[in-house]
Amino acid sequence: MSADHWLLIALLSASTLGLRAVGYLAGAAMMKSRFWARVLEVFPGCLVTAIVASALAQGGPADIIAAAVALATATLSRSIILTMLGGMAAFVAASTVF
Amino acid sequence: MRSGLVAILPLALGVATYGLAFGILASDAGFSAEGIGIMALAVFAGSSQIAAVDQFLSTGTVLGAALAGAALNLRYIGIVASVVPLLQELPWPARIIALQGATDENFGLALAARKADAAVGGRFLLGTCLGLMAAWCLSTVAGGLLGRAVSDLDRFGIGFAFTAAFIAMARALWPGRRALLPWAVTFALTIILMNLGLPPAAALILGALAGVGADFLVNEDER
Repeated sequence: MSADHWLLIALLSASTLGLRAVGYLAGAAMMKSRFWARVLEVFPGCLVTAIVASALAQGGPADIIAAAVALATATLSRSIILTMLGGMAAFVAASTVF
Repeated sequence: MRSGLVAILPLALGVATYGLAFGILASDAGFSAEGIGIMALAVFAGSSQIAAVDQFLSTGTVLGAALAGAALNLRYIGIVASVVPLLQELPWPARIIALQGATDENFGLALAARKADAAVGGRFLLGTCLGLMAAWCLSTVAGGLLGRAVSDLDRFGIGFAFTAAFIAMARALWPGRRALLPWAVTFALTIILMNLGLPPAAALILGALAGVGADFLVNEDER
């Protein structure tokens, strides 16, 4: 592991602990604010969508096909493990063609 | 505390399966089993760990990866706020452990148990936290060791595993039709910004903020 790996763990740990502390000390007041309650509710879903979009923007046709299979699996099964397995299998199969 | 530990067992088994997969992926990104274990304890936020490791693997930048992981953890402000009354029943050392251990999986369970039985309190929450922490730490380390033992993970499609995990998370977070336009705006703008050459971390944060803005514009009357 490089220094960058350890730095990532340290930064992620500090930010997560900081956000939990904010929740403990000021979360109730923030959730009473309609603006902040709404931002905190909507932002995570948008961010996950953005992460998927950024991965597909960097990928090729095999990624797009695998994403369609993963989306169908997630919709039908609602299981993260089945979705990962379905997406990975589709990616392997599509990579042999593209 | 024991009742919390027992109540969380079924969810802990699901978390362990997910943790095993994450450990294998983190190993592929260059993390040692020890590092994976330390990250599991020190961060203890599965989706954010996946986001950060995914961004680190694809971009190689530490700050962008940490920012993506931290942004996903904004929801912990609301989660922790909802269990503050339970946390305040615990002495400080146990309170800090439970504060670190409150996640998507157990806060709802603890609140539901308290609603059904007013005697359920902080010790129940602490039990659920300890059960989940043990499952997450042990399974991610086991995944890290397994990942080190198996070579050429690409032939199993490991390169797509993170994206598939995020698609599953998106499905779990889908709140209904009101998210359609905000998520579409986010998706389209992120791809446009990436194609314009913006760094991935900046593109996805800007894309997500645009989605939040779209939600404020189109869903104003629904809340």
